Amino acid sequence: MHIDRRSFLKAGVALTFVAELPGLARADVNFEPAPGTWRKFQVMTRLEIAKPAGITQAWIPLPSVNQKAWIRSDGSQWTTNGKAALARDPRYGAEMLHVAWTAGQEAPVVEVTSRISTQDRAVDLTRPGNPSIDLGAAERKFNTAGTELIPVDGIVKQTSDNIVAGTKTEIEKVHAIYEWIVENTFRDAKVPGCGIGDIASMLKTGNLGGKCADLNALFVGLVRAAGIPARDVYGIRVAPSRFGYKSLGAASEVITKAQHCRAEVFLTGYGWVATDPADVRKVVLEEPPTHLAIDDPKVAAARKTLFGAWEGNWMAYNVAHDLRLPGSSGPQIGFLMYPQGESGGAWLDCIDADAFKYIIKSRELTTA
Amino acid sequence: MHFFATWCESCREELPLLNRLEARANGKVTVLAIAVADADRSVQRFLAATPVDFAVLLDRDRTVAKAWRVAALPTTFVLDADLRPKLVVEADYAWDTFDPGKLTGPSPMDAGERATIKNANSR
Repeated sequence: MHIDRRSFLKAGVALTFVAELPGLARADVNFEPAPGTWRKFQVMTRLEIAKPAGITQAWIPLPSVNQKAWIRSDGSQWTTNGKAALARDPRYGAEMLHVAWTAGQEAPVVEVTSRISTQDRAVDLTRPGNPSIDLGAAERKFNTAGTELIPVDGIVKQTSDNIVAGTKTEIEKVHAIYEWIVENTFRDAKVPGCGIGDIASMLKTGNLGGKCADLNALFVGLVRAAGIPARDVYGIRVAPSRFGYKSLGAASEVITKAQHCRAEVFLTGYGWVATDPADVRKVVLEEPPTHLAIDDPKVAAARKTLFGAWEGNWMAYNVAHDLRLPGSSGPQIGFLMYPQGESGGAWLDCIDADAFKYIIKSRELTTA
Repeated sequence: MHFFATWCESCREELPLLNRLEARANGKVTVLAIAVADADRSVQRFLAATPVDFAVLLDRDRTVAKAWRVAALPTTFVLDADLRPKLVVEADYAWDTFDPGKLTGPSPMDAGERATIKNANSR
């Protein structure tokens, strides 16, 4: 093969140009959710029990978070061949549709449609806060206490103390914990086994891998252990990200497996503030071309933004922990983000949407 | 006493090994498995695909795991005939390479020590 000097130079120029392109593209990462545009979504959940084994019940979470700054529940409607009633958790106000079918019903089915309005959240933590924005003593105590899956004593407290050592303000403490989650959580194949499902066992085993219900629960527990109110917000992604993040949005109108919990922290002077360190790790793992470096511009942008902001392409169900489902023979559940069911006294597998047979679809209605 | 979960990846291969261990022990070892924080139907489906001869109990709310101070899954406690702990294995383990006679012989913990296996790469 013969390459003359002129062609070689051309190829060299082209090569330089192509090599520069990704850099230019990366510099354009724009991830700046900002409140101002409300969007309305309709979310439909259809649930069927394929092989009922006697008396069958189901509990379907309904959007029940109402905060005037970013989300409003516009109600739910349902049809079913069972007996349905709206139920509400007495401690957290989490709403659910409780449906019961008699043993003779061979094809239990329920379809629920909920509507919500939501918008982006963002708070500028570099501006001085308003000291009059504070949480009452009772609410502060409630949101710093431990739960079944989120103990705040023992190894959780020790870990939290180590992370926040040397920090002074609430913002510094929460930011230190947020950074710790982003830096330290991942799945390590060398770690033996799993925890037993709570954050203390995650820390004891050193297996800090997991999804949002693990990572953001760990974040919430460490923040609570530092004496700062925090809570998980359980919900589901309802639309693609308009900032181009494939990993941070619903891929299609079918959102059956798009459940995602975020986290809020209460910062004196600012109120409940949006955070989502688990989504930073999701960008690292899943954002194309996947397995991004921690200093990749898309990761860096998510890391910066998701401390204080999140995009309104997600619907909150509730902020509840340790719920007892009305009429259930089972134990309390750690959180209610998936439809739950039992048939003939046996718990159905809530994350196996194919066997349990449910489908969730989302549709944007109009701009509010 | 074998604590496991169907949602725990490193647990799933170990149950058939424990089943074979119990068979090799000719009635001198009894395995009792405890599914931690698992849905009933998940355990049933798992056991339909991977049948075992020993009893599998459901610890739906982690009460038993907490009482036994289990932090990692899988964890196996070997008890002697008087239900005193002989061995604790805090990892998945290659039970096919293990002589069940060692479990029924003199206890390595008779000297007062708690024998523990933590090596995850033991299989």
